[in-house]
Parts: sequence; C-alpha cells; structure tokens
Amino acid sequence: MKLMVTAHTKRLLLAVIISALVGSCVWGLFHIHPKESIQGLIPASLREQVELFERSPLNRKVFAVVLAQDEETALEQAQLLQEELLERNLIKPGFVPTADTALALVRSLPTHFSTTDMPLLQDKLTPQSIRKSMEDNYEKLIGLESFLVKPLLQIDPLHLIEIMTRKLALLNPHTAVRYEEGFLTSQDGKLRAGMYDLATPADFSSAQKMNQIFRDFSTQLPAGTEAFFLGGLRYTAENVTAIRHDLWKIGALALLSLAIIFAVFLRNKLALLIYVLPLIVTPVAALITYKIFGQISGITLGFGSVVAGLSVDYAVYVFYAMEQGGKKIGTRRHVTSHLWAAFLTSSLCFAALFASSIEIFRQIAVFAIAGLFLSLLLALYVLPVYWQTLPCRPVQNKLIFKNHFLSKRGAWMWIGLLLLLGIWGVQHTHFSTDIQSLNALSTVFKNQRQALEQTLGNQTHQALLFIKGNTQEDALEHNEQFARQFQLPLATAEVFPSQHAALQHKTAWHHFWTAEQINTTRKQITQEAVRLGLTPQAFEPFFEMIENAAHQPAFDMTQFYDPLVPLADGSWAVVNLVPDEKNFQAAAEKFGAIFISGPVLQRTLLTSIKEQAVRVVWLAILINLIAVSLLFGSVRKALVAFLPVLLAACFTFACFALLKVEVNLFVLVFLPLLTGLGIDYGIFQLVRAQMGANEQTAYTSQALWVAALSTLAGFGVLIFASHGVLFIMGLSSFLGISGAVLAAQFILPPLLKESK
Amino acid sequence: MKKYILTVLFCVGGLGGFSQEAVSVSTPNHEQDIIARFSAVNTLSSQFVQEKHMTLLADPVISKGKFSFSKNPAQIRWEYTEPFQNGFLLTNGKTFRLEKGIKKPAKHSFARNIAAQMMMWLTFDLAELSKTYNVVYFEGGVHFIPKEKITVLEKITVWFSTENPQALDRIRLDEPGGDYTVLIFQNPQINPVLPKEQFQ
Repeated sequence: MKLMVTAHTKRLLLAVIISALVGSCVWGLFHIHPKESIQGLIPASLREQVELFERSPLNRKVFAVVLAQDEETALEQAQLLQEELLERNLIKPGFVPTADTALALVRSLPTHFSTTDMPLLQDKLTPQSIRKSMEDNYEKLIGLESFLVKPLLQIDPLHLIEIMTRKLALLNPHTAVRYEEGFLTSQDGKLRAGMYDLATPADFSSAQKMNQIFRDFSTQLPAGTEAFFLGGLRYTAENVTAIRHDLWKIGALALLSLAIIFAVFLRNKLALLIYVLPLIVTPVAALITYKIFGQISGITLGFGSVVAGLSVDYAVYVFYAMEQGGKKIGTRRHVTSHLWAAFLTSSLCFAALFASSIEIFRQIAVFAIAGLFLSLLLALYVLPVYWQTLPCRPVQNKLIFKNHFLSKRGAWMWIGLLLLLGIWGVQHTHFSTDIQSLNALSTVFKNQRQALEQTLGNQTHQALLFIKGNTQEDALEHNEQFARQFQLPLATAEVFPSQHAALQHKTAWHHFWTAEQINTTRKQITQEAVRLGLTPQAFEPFFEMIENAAHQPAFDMTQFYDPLVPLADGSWAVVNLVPDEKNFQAAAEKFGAIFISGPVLQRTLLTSIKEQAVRVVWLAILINLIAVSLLFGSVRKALVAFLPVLLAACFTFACFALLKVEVNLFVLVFLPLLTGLGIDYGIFQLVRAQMGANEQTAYTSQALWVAALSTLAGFGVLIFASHGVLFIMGLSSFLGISGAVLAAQFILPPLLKESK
Repeated sequence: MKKYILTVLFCVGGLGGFSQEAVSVSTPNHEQDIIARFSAVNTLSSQFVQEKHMTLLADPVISKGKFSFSKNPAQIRWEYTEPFQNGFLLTNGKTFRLEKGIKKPAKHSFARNIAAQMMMWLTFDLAELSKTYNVVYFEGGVHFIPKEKITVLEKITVWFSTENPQALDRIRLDEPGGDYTVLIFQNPQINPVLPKEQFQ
C-alpha cells in the first residue's frame, strides 16, 4: 500500500513539475513574435550586400497601384488612395516642384557646374541660341502664365536650368516611363502607380496596417477597379502571413496524423503520453532557441513539427519495449543504449549545421538538439514511471513487419537499382536558384507584380553600386573618385557633390564667366530684349546671379532623392543605380565598392549555399561514422548503418526528378537531417541484430514503423505548407524518411543476418 | 468635378461698360444670387482680349484669343490667336500644350503646374475659392485676395457683365510690384453646342 502511494505521489509530482515547466514556457512563447528577415536565410558572405540593400532608399519605397477600366477612374482613385495613405501617416508626402524650386535649381548651378557641362553652356551662348531663348521668353511673358514664369525667366533667360534638369534626369531610373499627374502610368492610362517613401519602419506591423487600409479602400472602389501595394513591405506581409497560416495548419494536421497512428497501432490510453511529449518539448526548445539568439524565425518554429516527430520516436521505442518486455533487464538496457546512440547521431547531424553561416540553420540546430535532449530524458526517465503497469499485448504479425522479406541477393539488387535511380535523379532534378523561390508569394501577388512590371518595363538590367566612406563627406568624395578613376558616369556624383567638389565647381564657374564673357552676353541679351519690346534691364537678375556665384544658396537635392545611407558600423554609403554591366562590376571590385545585381547575387548565393551544404553534409557523415564506429566497435557496422541514408537520398532525388519538383536551396537543410534519421533506423536494426531471440521479440519492427510514421506525421505535413521553404523541407523529409525506413526494414536485415 | 462647376461661368464675356467699383457688403442673398445665375451655364465659348502691363515690357502688349468651356465633363480650351498661336487644353484630367493649334503633351511638371493653376482660377467654385482667397464683393464684381501673403498674385478682380447676368465683363490679375493683366471678354455664347473636336 505504501509502495502504491509512493508511486502515485511520484507520478503526480512529476506531472506537476513538467506542467509548471511547460506552462511557463508556453507563457513565454506567447510573448515572442517570430521575426522574419531575409538576413536569416542567407549565408554570412552575402549579408553585407543584403544589409546594404535593406538600408538603401529603394528598400523603403512602396508602390500604391490602382488598376481601373478607364483612365479617369484610375487617376481619381489613385489620388484618393494617396490622400488616405498620407492621412494614415504610412507614406511621406512626395516632393512637388514649384516655381521656387526652379529658381533654387538655377541658383545651385555654380555648385554643380562641372567641366562636362561646358559644351552645353557654350551652346547656350551662341547668338542664334540667345535669339531663340529670348523669343521664347517673350512669348511666355506675354502669355497668361507670365506671373508664374517671370521670376525664373529673369534669372535664367538662357534656360541654363536645362543643365540641372539633365543631371536630375540621370537619377531617375524610370525616365522611359510615362509619368503623369504624379503617378507612373501605363500606356493605356488604366494603371496608375504612386511611388512613395514609407513613413513607418518596413516591418510586419506596417505591412499589416497597409494590408488593412487596402482592404478597406478596396471595398469602396467602383466595379472593375482594383487597388494593391507592392514593394519590400508586401513581401514581408506575404511571407509572415503564409508562415503564420502554415503554423496553424501544420500543427493541426500533425496532431490529426498522430491521432490516426495512435488509433491504428497503440490503442492504449497510457500510450497517449507519447503524444504529450511534443507538447512538452516544443515550447521549451523554442524558448531556449529564443534566449540564445534573441529572436526566433517562423521557419524555425515550423520546424517544431519535425522535432515533435523525432521526440515521439524515442517514446514509441520505450513504450513498445516496456509493453513487450519491460521487465527484462536486457531489453531495457538495449533500449537505453539505442536511444542514447540515436540521440547522439541525430544531435551530431544537427550540430553539423553550426558549420553553416546561415542563421536559420543555426537556430534549427539549437532548437532540434534542445528538443531531442529533453525528449530523450522524458522518454527514458519520466514516461516509464507511468508505464510500469502496462499489460503485455501480442504484436501484429503482418507482412510489412517481417524483417526477412528479401533474400540477400534481392537486397543487393534493390541497392543497385536505387543507386542507379539516385544518379539519374540527381542529374535530372531541377534546382531553382531563383531567390524568389524562398518567398511565399500568392498567385494574386504574382499577377499584380506582373501588371506593374509591364508598366515600369524591365528593370532587371539595373544594378546597385554602394560606395562607402567613414563620413558622409568621405563617401561623397569616394563616389566622385570612382566616377573619375574609371570614367564611368554616376548620376549621384553629378547631383550630390562633396564640399571639395562644390568648391571646385564654383571656381570653374567663376573662371568661365570672365568680365569679357559677361559683357558680351549682356550686350547680346539686351539687344534681343530691346528688339522684342522688352526693357534693357529686364534680365539684370541673371547677371547678378552669375557675379555672386559664391554666395548663392545650395539647393537641397535630397528632396528629390537621398543617396546617402548610414551603415550599422557608423560609416556611410552612397547608393547608385547603375547599368548591370561588367565594367561597373569590375570597377567596383577594383575600387572596393559593392556591386549588387540580381543575376550576380543569385550566382553568389547558389555557390555559397552549395559550399555550405557540402561542408555540412560531409561533416555530418564524418562525425556520425566516427560516433557509430566507436559505439559498435566496427567500421563495417557503421557503414551498414549508413546504408538507409544513402538509399533514402537516392530514392528522394529519383522522386524529385520523376515528379518534376522544382527544388529550392532549402532542400540542402534536409540532407544532414536525413543523415541523422536514416542512421537512427540503421542503428535500430544493428541493436536489434545484437539482441538475443527473446529480447528481439520485445523490440519489434512495429516499434520502428510506428516511430517512422510518427516522424512522418510531424515532417510530412509540411508538404501542405504554402511557404516554399517549409514545403520543400516537408517533401524532402517525407520522401527521405519513407526511403530510409523501407531500406532499414527490408534491405538491412538480410545483410545483417549474414554479417552476424 | 464639383469645383469646376462655376468655373468659367464668370468668364462669360459681356460687352457692357465697366461697372463703377465700389466696396459693398456681401450678403448671403447676394452670394446665392451669383451662384444661381451662373449655375445654369453648362458650356460657353468666348473671345478675349488680353492687356499685359509689365515693367519688363517697354509698352503694354495686347493679345487676342478664344476659349471654350464645358462643365461636364470638365474641359477647357484656352487659345491665343495673336500675336502668337499657343495655349493649353485640359481634358480627361490631362494637360496639353497647344502650339499653332496642335496638341502636345505637357510632359514637364512645371508646365502641368501652370496649367493646374490656370484651371483653379478659371473654375469658379466659391466654396473652393474661399479656401484660398478672401472674397470681397463690390457693386458689379468680386475681389479675390489670397489668404497667404507669399503668392505670385496680389489680387484677382472680376466684373460681371451689366448686359448679361450670366456673363463676365473682365478679369484683372494684379501681381506684387505693380504688374497686372486684364482679360476682356467679347461675344460670349452661353450654353452653345461645342464640337467635340475642340477638346480632342
């Protein structure tokens, strides 16, 4: 009686401790917001490039697009949308040039006057050109709009403002695009896109606000009219929405799958504790990961289903062992050895992910190792307390659970066939190097993006060039030095001169406008003015501007575009939009500048990820071979344990090729994972082969199958994820685990029988 | 569109003599009377003479031209015939320059701004105008004085036609510094059928 009370108290105490632990972790998790950043998905070698892009003014642009059935509606709704976004403080008011802007631009001419402008200025000073300009001025002065243009014409009768507008035009990558009434406009006028600077951080909260405004705005639109936004913010919205949706869907499907496995194989209320394990393990592992990295990605949390599946494995083995032969000391010893070996190999595989510089991989490694360790402890030392009184149940003796289904010869034939299929599969699998495949983009979004791209034209031939400096002035000087050294045109160098360059420009202006040059020009302008009926002093402000060049106020060009971005290390960079050409790329490399173009970025990304994946896989294989060899005291046995891994990989790539799956870069995360899981099944068969006949009957193949199916229930459901990364991890794992368990169940036993 | 409604109604020319300017109080009835008088005008066309008085000009310059207006859809064609053939066209929310009768897109934002400013003055929606101008009535006309001091126009004065209650006689635009422009309207036609080509 005393013994029963003690056992009951022990179970109760354990339940309370675990519940308190899990409860506090769940509470902690509710205060965590998954953070999604492309930074976490890319190798460290590309992080600087991506960080620069994220800090560039281009990243803060948002396009508010209206697509209507007629031009008038498109314009009207685009204007209303602009008012709404301004009112809600989501965008910054755009810069609207006025007559004063033109005056300020003309006054800024001396500080921007470079030697390249000399030919244009000389053209403006020929007698024919002066006559034409003056006739044009007269026509404007006697027109209705004279009061608007008069101040500008007085200070700039020769239209020198064109020198400035030519420079400014170089800044605008969309010069070929129709731009009307403040909107980028399609040729038929039915699409109007406002290009704005975000007034809020480009985070998920802003994305949600923007989503809500567009949803509300869309309800008021006339029939046949559509409004949407595009830009970095939309990518954030699409990705986070998809991941959040996936997390719920995957969680529900995983639970449903596990319930089916329970109903078919386990059918004991005490076995329900197996499925309580993931609920205990996942929040704790998530919190540990969060504490270590200071953040956690939704993708890592999505990986929780994988850890859930793996943690169930351990509990399944213990459950079957205790049900079939729990009282046999030998069986329990073997189970303990097996689970520690399985944990060691799986953890080593995940630990190999630390060799990668991709932060998500590191998060997954910590998350998985923490989860598996906790599962192991619970499976070996807590759950048995509740399973002491399990009744012995006869195992199902179906064909699928029979070990020696194949002969040795048959096993070798299958090995050969799978190897051939694997080679063919690797050769025919389509690897997508498109960085977009790492995003979860809806069809609606893709169609909307296409509509805007048709209006803006193909911008893929543009690249970003970042020229850095310790200070703003330093960055501007380096920018000018780059343009000068490589004879490559940089619009920013023309429009945003450093203080040193501005001084040089003023000097050049002063040298050009000699007293003789001024007198000649004054004479010509006065002659033309008098001929047309204008007073001789009409354009005296022009000459005052020339003579007082040193005191002219500089116009703040950043009102149009601010090319200077602060960097994390306190330095600055000038952002240039340049043609995606090799001469710019070569010059950037030589100068130490950073050149980012879509195709180059993709190539670098692919190369870097491939290198990392190869490193991780080899490391996982090597350390596991060593570990398994040490555990079983035989390299040959270790190689046999690896056979399910090899065959599963062949099976997976053959299926990819047959199903014509477009595989994205994240399939590489699956390879070390498959190594860990495949070895587990191999170790199971090795442990089993070492057992005596009595112990073998207690450690059944059914346990292996239930464990594999449970893992599949965790992994496989990722197939239903809409996010491309989660999907490919799910599909790879589903195929890999299926292949590994089939190989472990049917191919390994005939080989082990011989070796034994 | 509403803001265009009363726009050019005041531009309807009259041949009557100049009204004697006299400061007068504005009453709601007086204002309503003006709105009612001009609200019945849907289209109009008129010839105009423009007198430009500027310190930059040795002598005042006289220009001549014609204009057409349609309330719905909101369209204006303003075109000089002497001494130059130019002007502008606002149609379907877009601005075009007119050069010797040929329509050309007003690509430059500065040109579009000018056209937009023109549209604002020519559209005579009192509610809209009151946001920018203080409206002072006098016998036979209205002064519009900009509320903001920094502006390119100091005052706009319109005189109603004494012969045609739905027509304007003239508009004077006074600039800071003493320059001014007078527009005198001639041969106004109220609600004529305007050929579509005028705005195309």
